Amino acid sequence: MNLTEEQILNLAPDESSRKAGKALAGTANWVSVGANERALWGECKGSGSKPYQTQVDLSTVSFKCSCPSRKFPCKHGLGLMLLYVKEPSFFTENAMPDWVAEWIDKRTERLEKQAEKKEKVVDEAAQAKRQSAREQKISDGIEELLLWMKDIIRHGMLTVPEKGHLLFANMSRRMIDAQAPGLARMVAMAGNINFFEDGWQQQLLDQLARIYLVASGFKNQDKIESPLKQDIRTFIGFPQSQDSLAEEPVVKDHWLVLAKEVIEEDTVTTERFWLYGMQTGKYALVLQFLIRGQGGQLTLMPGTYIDGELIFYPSILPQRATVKNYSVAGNAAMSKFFTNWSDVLTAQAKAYSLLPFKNPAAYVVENIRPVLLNETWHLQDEEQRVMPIKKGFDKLWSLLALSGGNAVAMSVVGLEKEFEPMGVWIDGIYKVLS
Amino acid sequence: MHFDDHIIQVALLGTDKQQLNLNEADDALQPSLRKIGDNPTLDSEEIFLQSLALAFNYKQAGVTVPVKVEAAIEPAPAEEKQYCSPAAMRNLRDILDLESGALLRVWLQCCADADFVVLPEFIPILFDEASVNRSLLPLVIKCCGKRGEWLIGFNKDWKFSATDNTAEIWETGSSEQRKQALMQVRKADAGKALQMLEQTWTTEDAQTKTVLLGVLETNIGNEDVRFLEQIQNEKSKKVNDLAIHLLKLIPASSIVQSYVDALRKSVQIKKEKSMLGLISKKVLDVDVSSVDESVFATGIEKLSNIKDLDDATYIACQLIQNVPPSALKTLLGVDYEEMANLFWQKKSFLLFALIGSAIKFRDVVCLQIALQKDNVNFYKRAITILPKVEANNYAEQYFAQQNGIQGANIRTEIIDTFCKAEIEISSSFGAVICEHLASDMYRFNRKFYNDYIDLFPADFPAIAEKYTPQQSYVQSQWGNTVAYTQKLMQLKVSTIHHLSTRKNN
Repeated sequence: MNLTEEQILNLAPDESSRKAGKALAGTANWVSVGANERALWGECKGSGSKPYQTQVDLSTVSFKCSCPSRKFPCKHGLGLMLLYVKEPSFFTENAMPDWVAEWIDKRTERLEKQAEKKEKVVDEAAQAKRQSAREQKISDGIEELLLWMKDIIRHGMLTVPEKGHLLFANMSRRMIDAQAPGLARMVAMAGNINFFEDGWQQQLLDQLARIYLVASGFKNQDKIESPLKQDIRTFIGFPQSQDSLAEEPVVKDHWLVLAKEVIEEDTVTTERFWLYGMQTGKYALVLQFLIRGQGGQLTLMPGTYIDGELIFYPSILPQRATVKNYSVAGNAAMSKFFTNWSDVLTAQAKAYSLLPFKNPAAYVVENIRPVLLNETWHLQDEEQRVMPIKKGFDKLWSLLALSGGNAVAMSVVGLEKEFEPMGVWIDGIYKVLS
Repeated sequence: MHFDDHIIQVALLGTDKQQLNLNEADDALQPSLRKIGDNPTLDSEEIFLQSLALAFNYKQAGVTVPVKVEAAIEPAPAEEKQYCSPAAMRNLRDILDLESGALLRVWLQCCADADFVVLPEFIPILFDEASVNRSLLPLVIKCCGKRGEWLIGFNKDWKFSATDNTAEIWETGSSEQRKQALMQVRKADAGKALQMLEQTWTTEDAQTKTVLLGVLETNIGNEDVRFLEQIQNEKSKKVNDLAIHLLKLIPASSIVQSYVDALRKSVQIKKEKSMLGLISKKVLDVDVSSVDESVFATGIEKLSNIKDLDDATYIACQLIQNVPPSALKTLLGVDYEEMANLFWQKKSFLLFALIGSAIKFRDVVCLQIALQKDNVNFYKRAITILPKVEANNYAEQYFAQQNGIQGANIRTEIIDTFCKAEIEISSSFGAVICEHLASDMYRFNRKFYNDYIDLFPADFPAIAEKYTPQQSYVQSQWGNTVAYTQKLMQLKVSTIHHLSTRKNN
């Protein structure tokens, strides 16, 4: 296992699990432990009469524990891994007990089955009918959306600030009813603009332009070819099933996990992992949705490398991907960088030409230094060009402390003219900002 | 007007009032915009939205960033000191995770003593810690090295913490903030604090005067007499009383001197003959009839409210309590040992007063001798005056004798006194307090050990492990507590090991 203590702790779902995991990383807590190349297991003393059986599949860093915790991974899983890193000599047993072997076998079996899984026989007529009904609902919703936008334009945006959030919330709800959750989100984002801040007019117009492009794109989808058509449908909110990816090419690479962002909304936690392919130079965004109490399949640690096979969702600008399989790998030297902001903007302009309403993208840029300009922090490249850091960026002190104001290679994510640093390379080692 | 601005203008007014003027657009955009505008099937709002979408894409595809040579900041100077070892940094991470303030201080102190600096990624975390607990700041600044010094210049909150802003707080802060600022100055330079208070004294209200005057108790000395005597005629009774209280702490003050005079007249050693005049022994004679009336205006009471204590001895006790033991010794012409004996023989209350005086004027020698005579009563404040070993022995002696609810409260108070005065607990006393710690684990919880583990002896977890609470339902919880103290102690030992010498790294 190549993981460091810090990387293991990054797997913790929250701060309390992190602390509790650390507290369990002592030999006194474990009745028995064992490890081999494939797995790590242990029996941890708990409040119950029987110890909890904790196991970790090291090939994919997957956890299982008999404790009742709804957190994933639980403190026992974290504690076991931390103990292994601290005191590997304590793990003398290497023959898997039955309860571990059974789980590992099942996992292997399931993975094989998934690989061989054949398409289910579906009632195509019923599916087509459902699909057609949904498209009709969306089309009706889009008509209303366009009418609403035209109303705003006809009467002028001057009254928008006083109407405020409610104006957008109502239309966003209407889009949910119309089964267009993507559009609903875009409308809600327009409502989140601070209407008492300079420049709200431009921000609102930009967002209206994006909404209009997606909505009118859907209206004219018959005239648009895939994969742009697929992009429009994705932005509308049509789900993309994993099964539909079966025919997509697999991208094999040595991936660096650039960053992990966690967004909690109601009962759903979305984990966003930015990955960079060391050989292919591809950037990938992997999303994992967790319903409260459920564990995720992916346990990617920012700052670590994986050997993995990724499948990109069909798009004219492939970015979102799913991880078919992966294993934790060792460090690798970074080689392909954007050399300056002009390079990044050229790539961005090319991307806009393909997908004008695209989402923020990741870039790794060489020799970037943080600079202060008019009391605002910027990122300056070798040509002295400065790019503003996104407002609300909360890792500035980490960035300054690590870089010391020197030019460093930096991973950033952003759109148009605002970027947010995610990590930096110091002496060839990638460090995630925290 | 730039086309983007023109679009905004039209959007704000509404297409009902104004239409897009395509001539405002860049030449490159115009053909496409005209194609949209000339489409007869489109209404004016649709034309606007299509034009907007086109202009939006044109704008974002053509984004450029300006060249600003002058925007550079001076990079951080190279670090002169050696970075801590990875093992030491792991310890720091563990300590931060456990939120142990005591261990954080130990870690920082060891790091500073060894002349190491932390890895840059820890600097913001440590400065945030120091912003909350300012007493850590000098150590944090030292441990963060050149990079820290450089970084602090960019963060207003940290800069505010690190720079000496006492003057600003003194002028503009709240009453509590001003008190803290004055206290800080008082600890470093007693005279300067007195000067600050004198300068603003006449402008303060009575309540603030009381709050700020109390600060003078720290590092009080002869230099304060003049000011305290000056303010004795303040309108506020609270301020007056406090000034008198403070004057009573200064041996050179006129109040204390008046007490010395009063004692000279009222307490004397006389020789008494016994055994038919064959043996002569010294006895204490107390006669307060000639005490000057003026001392009673300074808080000395005439009538005893204690059943077994007559008025004359009561007055003498109050006087003794407010006079330094050294002055009493000179006055009576005997050593501490004899003085304590005479007081004890005359009336135990006189010895209590002597102990009170020894505590008040921090006379350790007198205190040690006097405490030997009184093995019945317990003086909590004596713990804070006695040397570490004696303090532990003294506390240990009385700790075990406390029973019942009141006894439990006294036990808690004794432990609190050790913690507040930052007195290290001996192994022997540690063993004695286990039972009490186990009996109230809601109070003596993880936070308690996080905050005070540095005061516990290294063998405390082993000592505590030997103790088994009688109630079975707390045994498991006590076991967890012991395991936690073990973890903290290991961390402390490991910290000291990894940061003790350079060769370990």
